[in-house]
This record gives sequence, C-alpha cells and structure tokens, in this order.
Amino acid sequence: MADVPPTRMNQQIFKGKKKAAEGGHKLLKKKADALKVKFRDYAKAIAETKSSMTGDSSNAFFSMTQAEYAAGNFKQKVAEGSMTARVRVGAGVDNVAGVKLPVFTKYDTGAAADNQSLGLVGGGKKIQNVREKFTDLLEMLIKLASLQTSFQTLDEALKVTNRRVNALENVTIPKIEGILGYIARELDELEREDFTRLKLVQGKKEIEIKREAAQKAKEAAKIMVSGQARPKSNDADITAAFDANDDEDVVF
Amino acid sequence: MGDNSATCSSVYCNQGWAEVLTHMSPYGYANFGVAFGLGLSIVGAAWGIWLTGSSLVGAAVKAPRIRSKNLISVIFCEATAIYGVIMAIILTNKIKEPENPDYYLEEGWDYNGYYYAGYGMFSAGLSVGLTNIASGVSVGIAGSSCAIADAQDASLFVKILIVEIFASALGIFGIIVGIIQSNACTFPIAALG
Amino acid sequence: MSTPAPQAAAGNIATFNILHGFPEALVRGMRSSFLGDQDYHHLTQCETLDDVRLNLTETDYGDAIADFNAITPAVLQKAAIEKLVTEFKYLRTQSVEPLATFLDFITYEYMIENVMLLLKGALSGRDINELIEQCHPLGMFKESTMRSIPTFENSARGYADLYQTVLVDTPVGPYFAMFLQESSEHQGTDARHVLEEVEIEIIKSSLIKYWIEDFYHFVQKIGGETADIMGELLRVRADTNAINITLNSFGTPLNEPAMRSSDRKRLYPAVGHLYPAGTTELTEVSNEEELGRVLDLFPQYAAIWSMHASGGDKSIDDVFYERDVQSLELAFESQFHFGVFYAYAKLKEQEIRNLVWISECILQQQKDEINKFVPVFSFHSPWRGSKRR
Repeated sequence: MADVPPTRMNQQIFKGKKKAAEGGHKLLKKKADALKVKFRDYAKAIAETKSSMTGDSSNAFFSMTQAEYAAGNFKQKVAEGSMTARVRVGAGVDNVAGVKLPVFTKYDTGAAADNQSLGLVGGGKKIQNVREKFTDLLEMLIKLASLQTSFQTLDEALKVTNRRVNALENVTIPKIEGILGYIARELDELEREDFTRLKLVQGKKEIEIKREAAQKAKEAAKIMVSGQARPKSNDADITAAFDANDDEDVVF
Repeated sequence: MGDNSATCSSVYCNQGWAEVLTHMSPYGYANFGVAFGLGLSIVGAAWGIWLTGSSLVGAAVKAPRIRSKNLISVIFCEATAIYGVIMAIILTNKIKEPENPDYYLEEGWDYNGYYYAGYGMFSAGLSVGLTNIASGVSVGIAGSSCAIADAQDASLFVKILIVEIFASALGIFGIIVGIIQSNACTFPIAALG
Repeated sequence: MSTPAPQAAAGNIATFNILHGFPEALVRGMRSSFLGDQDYHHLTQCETLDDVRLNLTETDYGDAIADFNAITPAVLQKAAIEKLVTEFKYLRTQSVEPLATFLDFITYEYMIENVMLLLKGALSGRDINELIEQCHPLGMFKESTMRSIPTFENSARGYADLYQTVLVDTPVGPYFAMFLQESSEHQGTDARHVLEEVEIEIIKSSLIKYWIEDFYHFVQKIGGETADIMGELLRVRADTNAINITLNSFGTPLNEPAMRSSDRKRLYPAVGHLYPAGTTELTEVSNEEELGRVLDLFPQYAAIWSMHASGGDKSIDDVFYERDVQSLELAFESQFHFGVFYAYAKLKEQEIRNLVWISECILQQQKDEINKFVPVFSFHSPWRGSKRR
C-alpha cells in the first residue's frame, strides 16, 4: 500500500480500478448465480436418473436371469461372437455461462447385429428382452455419465467463480478502497502543509513590507528633506522587491 | 425219412414221431416229470430272484433301509423253488420199481396203470414247472417294482406286497393241481392178480 | 446318416432287469434326491444366500456345496452340475449295451454345445484352456481328445486340421460332417468358411436336429417300452424345437422369405408330431399370428400357444418347461425302459435351473418372481390333484 505514490494520477488510476473491480464483481456474481441454477438442475437430473436407474438396472439384470432360465447359459456365446462395437459414445460441448460442459451422445456404428438368433431353440424372446433392457440401460448410463461429468465441471467452475467473487468482494475492492483512502489522506496532508507554509510566507512578507514601508517612509522623509529624488527611486525598485525566484511555486 | 418209414413194416420199426409217446418207458416219463417240475420251478425262482435282486440292490443304494424288508420278495421267489422241490419229492416217492425186476415185464402186467402213472406224473411235473416259471417271473417283476416303490415311499411296500402274494399264489395253483394229478398215479409193482 | 443298431435288445418286462435292472433301480433311487415341495418352500423363504446354503445342506446337495463357504448362483450352478455329472457318470459306468449307448446319446447334446464353443472360440483366437474351462462337463470328450486340442497351431490350417483329425472322431463328428456337407452343397463354401460365416446358434440348431433324429431312430431300434416312451419324449422335443425356432426367428434374417424355405426349414427335425405336415406349414409362417393358425391344427400345441398368445404371466418357455416336466415325470411312471435315464438328466437340469433362479431372485431382491419356476415331482403341480397321495 505504501509503495503506491500518493499522487493525483494514481488516485485516478485506482478510481478506475475500483470501478472495473465493481463491474467485474457484479458480472461474476451474475455468472455464479447462473451456474448455481444450472448446477441445481444437474444435481436434480442426476438424482432423478440415478433413482430411476436403480430400478432399470435391477430390471435389466433380472431379465438376464430370466433369459438364462429359459435359454441356458448364453454368456459365452455372446463373448465368442464378433467383437465389433455396434454402439459408440461421442463427445460434444455445451456452453453454460461461459463454462464448457461435455455432452456424451450414443450413436450406432451401423455394424451388423450379430447373435441375432441366440436362443433359437428356446428363450429367444427373453434374450430379445434382455437386449432391449440393456440398450436402454446403456443409454441411461451414457446420460448419467454426461450429467455427472457436467456436474463436476460445473462444480469446479462454480467454485472458481465463487472464489473470484469473494476475492473481489473481500480482498481486491477493500484493498483498492484502502489505497484510495490513503491517497486522499496523503493529498489532504500535503494540502494542509502547503497552506501552513503559505501562511508563514505571507506573515514574513508582511513583516518585510512593514519594514520596507518604514524604510520608505524614512527615505521619503529623507527625500522630502533632500528634494525630488523620491519618485525616481520608487519607479526603479517596485518589481525588484518581488523577485520571482524568491518563492517556490505552489503546486496544487 | 418218409421213404424209409414207408418201407419198414416190422413191428420193431418206428412208425413216426407219435411213437415217442408210446415207445418211451413210463418210468422215463415219471422221472422227466420230476426233472421238469423241479428244474422249471427253479428256473422260475432264479429268474424272479434275478429280476428282484438287481432292482433291490440298485434301489438300496439310495435307500438302504429297504434292503432287509425287501428280502421278502426274494423269499417269495424262493417259495416257487420250494414248490418245485416238494412236488419233486412227492413224485419221486411215487416211482416204484417192479417187485421182480427183469429184462421183460411180467405176464399180465397192468399196462394201463403203468402208462397212466407215467403220463400223469410227467404232466404233474410240467404243470408245476410251467406255473412256477410264470409265478416266479411275475413275483420277480412285482418284487422289482416293490423294491423301487419302497425306496421312494415306504407306505407302498405293503400294497405292492399284496400284489406279490397274488403272483406267488399262481405257483400254489400249480402245485395243488399237480398234487391232484399225481394222486391217482401209482406205478404197478407186480402183475395183476 | 445311418443310426447304428443297438448291440443288444433292451428286453421286455421279463428280461429287462437281467441287464439293466441295477442301473434302472439306481436312477429310480436317485429320484428321491429331487428337492421336494418342503425344500422349495424353505428355499423361497430365504433372505440371503447364506440361508439358501444352510437349507441346502439338509438336502441331497449338502455334500456338493459343503466345500463352499459362501455361494453365489454361479457357484451353486457349477456345484449342482458337477453333482449331476458325477451321478450320470456313475450310471454310465454301471450300464451295459444298449443302455450305455443310450446314455452316451444323452451326453451328445452337451457335446454339440462344447464342440461349437471350442471351434468358434478357437476361430476367434481364444485361449483353448480357457475354453475347456467353460465346456459343459457332461459333454466332455475323451481325455486324449481334450489334450490334443491345444496342440493345434493357431491358424486357419491348424483349425482345419483340428476339425479333420480330432472333431470328426468325436461322437458328434458325423452330425458335424452332415451339416458341413449340407451347407457346402447349399452354398458352395468350404468348411472353414461355413464355420466363420454361419451363426453359432444356427449351426448348433442344425446339429441338435441331427442329434434328435439320430437319437429317435436309435430308440426306435431298441424298441419295446423304450421306443414308446422315449420316442414320445423325443417327438415332443423335436416339435418344441421346431416351434421355438419358428417363433424366435421372427425379427431375424432367418425370417426373410428366401431364408424361410432354405435355411429355416433345414432346422426342423424330421421327426415328431409336426413332421411332415406341420413343419411344411411352419416353413411358410412369417409372424406370430400365422404361427398360431398353424398350431391350432395340432391340439396339444394349440393349448400351449393360447397360453402364449393370451400374453399371460407365463412365457412360452415357461409353458414348454412345464409341459416337459410333466411328460418327463410320466416317464418315471412306467418301469423297464430307458426313458427314465433321459428324464432323470432333464429333470435334474430343471432342478438346477430352479435353484439358480431362486438364488438369483434372492440375490437381486426379486421376491415377487421367486415362485416362477417349475418344481419337479411337486404335489402342487397343476397336472396332479392337490390331494396328497
């Protein structure tokens, strides 16, 4: 604080800084609010998805049990099938109040479905059911992953924003205000110092004037005594008495 | 063969298969009766024990409690053998030698009684033997089922045992008829008066 | 394929026991090892798998699960199958011809599954020991065959060799050869391509079809009671397969008009009540409605189909299982035939399915569904009077 020279220019600079800080604070506060709203939305969506997923996943796994009851153990057959992915997950970007959120989307690769005739001699319909259930579950899972990642990113962003808001509010702005106060105090002090000095100079000057006036009167009396030399000397010395270099400039 | 039999006109020549019946000694018939009666009965008993035994042993693997109880099925089968033995003893006792054994039978020999006794005992033996085969097999089958059923449910044992008793009764019919058949058979031991 | 004639006759009521009385009584004795209504009742009341384990220690499965501290459905299934295999092997060692061949026929079904697994797994480059682990123990090949499988190199040539030198010599080799021959005649591709291109499930269905036909002809040659009872079981089995194949093909390439008469028709067994009139009609079927119309002509299947069509609580698989259990139980009603051995194996399989189902339901907290299994030799079965004895 002390390293800021208390000058009028600095005062102007810091006044500008304060204005900027307050503007930034206001904007960040708005952003934080917007993020908070989004954050809550996501939290809600995650809670909903998760709660519905517990049911769905247990359903899906139970349908598998049903299918194994009907068709025997078909896991190995699925495992031995061709291993080309039929579904892939793509990543996109969503922008919320300047925060980039990842969005995962499922898309079909268009690979031919294999193992279509699984459970041909029994349980085929059940296996079909398992396939549907797990496809749904996969979609939910992707949605949840997308939400969860967004949630975390948002959380991070929200924390950063809040930190910034708080820093502006509690550190930066008070600091600027402190500096401004310091500058104002210092400037006032300088002003008062100048005033006193001026007063002192004025007092001295008055004494000098009085002395000179007395001297002049003495000389005038002398001239009156001696004749007409008085006006001449009066013309010659009127500016000489106030030499410009005698006084310091007063700078305000 | 036909040509030979047609050319043979002697009384000592065989006139055909029918002569087997008349040309065999009634003593032979009687003893064959004993042999068939006993032998077939024992075949029946053995068959039944085999049928019962194999099932009994198998069923007892998982239900060891049945093994002594179901021995009764084996005993029922054994009973058919005993019928055969009884009949054999009865028949054997009826076979009597002539008083004066000689190369030829005496004059005035009771040929009717002689053949009657031989054929009667032969038939009695066959009656007993054949009924006992049937009885033995059916007791065996029932006994096999009895062992298997008992292994599953002990309350079935008595019920199937009754079936077995009926199957066993078949042999008794045989032996009763056999005894009656052989009752009138007495081998003449000497020439008639 | 010509089914080999049995080396000896099975015998009639008076002679059956001479050779087969002991194993038959054994398998009938084993009938008492089935879980009863009481056991199922206790099992369905369990809250945890530990309770299940505790309840099972009282039953015939006690020894099988004694070594496990904690059971999972998978462990339970494995232990139960091991137990079944032990019992089956015991029966097999006690049997003489033609029962021995009959029992071997039962294992061929599992062998087919194993061959498929090994070949397909080997083609996709899996570790052969890992594959052997997954095989059904009832369908294991001879020790020497098993040992020789991993010696083949991991290449196309190696698999061709594997097929030509090893698998052909297994009991299911002839079925395989028939399938490959038929396929290559049909599509003009060689063996390796058929294995790669045709779906595993379709190959399996074809082999099962040959197996059913072969088994059926075998029991017909045995004759007597066996031919009647076992023949009926296999006819029904063949019909079930035909109906299931048709039903499950809807929505798959197999239902395309061109495939229907070529590929799908080839999967229908050439035995059974539906053959030949029914299977010919099934060839033309393209959706459930048409299938229902065809099955309406066969009273025994019309009832089953109506259960499925009404969309009730039971799926068609459940109805088929129920019907299977009923007819397999009936095989135990008659003595002096081989059907009981097949029935025993199949009913045990059903029991294992039930156990896995119950334990899965407990594990997954699906108490509402826990009673949806088909108990074996239950006094509450719909086809029995509710009266106890």
